[in-house]
Amino acid sequence: MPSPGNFDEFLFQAYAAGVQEPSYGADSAPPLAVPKELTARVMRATKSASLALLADRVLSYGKSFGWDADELKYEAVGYETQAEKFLAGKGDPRTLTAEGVARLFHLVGLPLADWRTLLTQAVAGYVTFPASGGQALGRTSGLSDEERATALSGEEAKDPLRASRVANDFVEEVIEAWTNLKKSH
Amino acid sequence: MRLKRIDKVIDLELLNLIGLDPEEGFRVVHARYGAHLLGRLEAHCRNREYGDGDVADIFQEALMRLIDPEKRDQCIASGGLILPWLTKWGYWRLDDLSRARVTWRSRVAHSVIAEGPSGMAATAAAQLVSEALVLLTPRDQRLLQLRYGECLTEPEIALAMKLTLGATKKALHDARSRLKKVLYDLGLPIEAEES
Repeated sequence: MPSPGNFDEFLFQAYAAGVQEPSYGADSAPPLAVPKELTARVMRATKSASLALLADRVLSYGKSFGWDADELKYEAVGYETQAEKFLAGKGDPRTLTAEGVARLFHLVGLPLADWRTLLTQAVAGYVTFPASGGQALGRTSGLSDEERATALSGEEAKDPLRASRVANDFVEEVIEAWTNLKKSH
Repeated sequence: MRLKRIDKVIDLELLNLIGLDPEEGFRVVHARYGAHLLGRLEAHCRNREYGDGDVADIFQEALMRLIDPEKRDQCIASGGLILPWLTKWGYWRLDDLSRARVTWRSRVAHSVIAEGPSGMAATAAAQLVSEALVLLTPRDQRLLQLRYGECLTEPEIALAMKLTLGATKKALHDARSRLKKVLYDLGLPIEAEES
C-alpha cells in the first residue's frame, strides 16, 4: 500500500494537473420566496441557538469527566433549577447568576474563548428596552418566568448596541468570577 | 469588483451584528439572502435529482451555522461573503445526505482507477480528486487547495485560515484522511484509514 508520502505526492501531482474546485449550476438559480412557516421556524431557533450551543459545549466537556447534566446542575448551589434550564439550552442565562455560570464553566474546564462570545450572544437576546426609551429591563435575576413575562409585557424594542453593553457587563462579571475560581484552584 | 467590495463590507457588518444580537442579525441575513439561498438549494436538488425533502432542514442548518463565532470566523477567512459561504455548505450537505441513497461513481474508468496512485496518469488523478472534493466540506476543500494546489506551508495556511498552527495541522490531517476515505470508496486502491 502507498505510504503517506506517496499519497501526498499523488495529491500534489493531481492538483498540478488541474484539480477543479466543485462548481454548481445552481449558483445561477433565481431566488425562491421563503415560506412563512420556514422563516418563523428559523427565527424561533435563533432565539435559543446561542445558549443551546453553549450548553452543548459545557455538557460535552463535562462528559469527558463523566458528568451529565443532572450532576452538573448541582454546581450552581441554590440555583439548581436555573442551572438545569441553562444546561437544557433554555431561558435567560442571567437567572443563574454570574457566579453560577462561572462555576459551571470552571468545573468542566471550558476555555474562555469557547464561551465568551456565545454567552454574550445568549444574554443579548434577552435584553430589551421599553419602546419609549428608558432604562434597560435587563436584570431579571430572581424573577420567575411568569413575572418576567409580565414585566416585559409592555411594548419593547431591540437595541443591539445597548443590549450588547448590558450583555457585556454580565459576561465581565462571569469572567471575574471564573478568574477567581481559577486562581483559587 | 466594487460591488463585491461593498457586499463584503455589508456582510462583515452582518456577521458582527449576529455577535451582538443574533435575532436581529439573522432577521437581516434572512431578509437579504434567504430567498437566494433557498432557490439555490432547491435548484441543486433538482439538478442532482435528489428530491427536495431535505431542503428546508438544510436551509435552516446552513443559517444556524452563523450562530457559532468560530464558523463566522471561518466565513471571514474564506472571503467574508455570506451567501456563497452558506450555499457551498448547503450543496455539500445535500450531497452528503444523498450518499446514503445514491451510489457515487467516478467518470474515470474503473480500470484507470485500479492502477492506483502510482500508476494513474496525472490528468486522471486530477479528475478523480475533483470528483472526490464534492463530498468534502468547503472547509476541507479549501485546506487541501491551499496545501496541494497552492503549495502553502502549514504556518502560511494557519495565517490564511486564521487558525493556530496546531489547529491547522490537525485540520489538514483530518481533511486529508477524509479525502483518502472518499477516494477509497470511489475505488482507488489505497489504505482508507490514516494513523
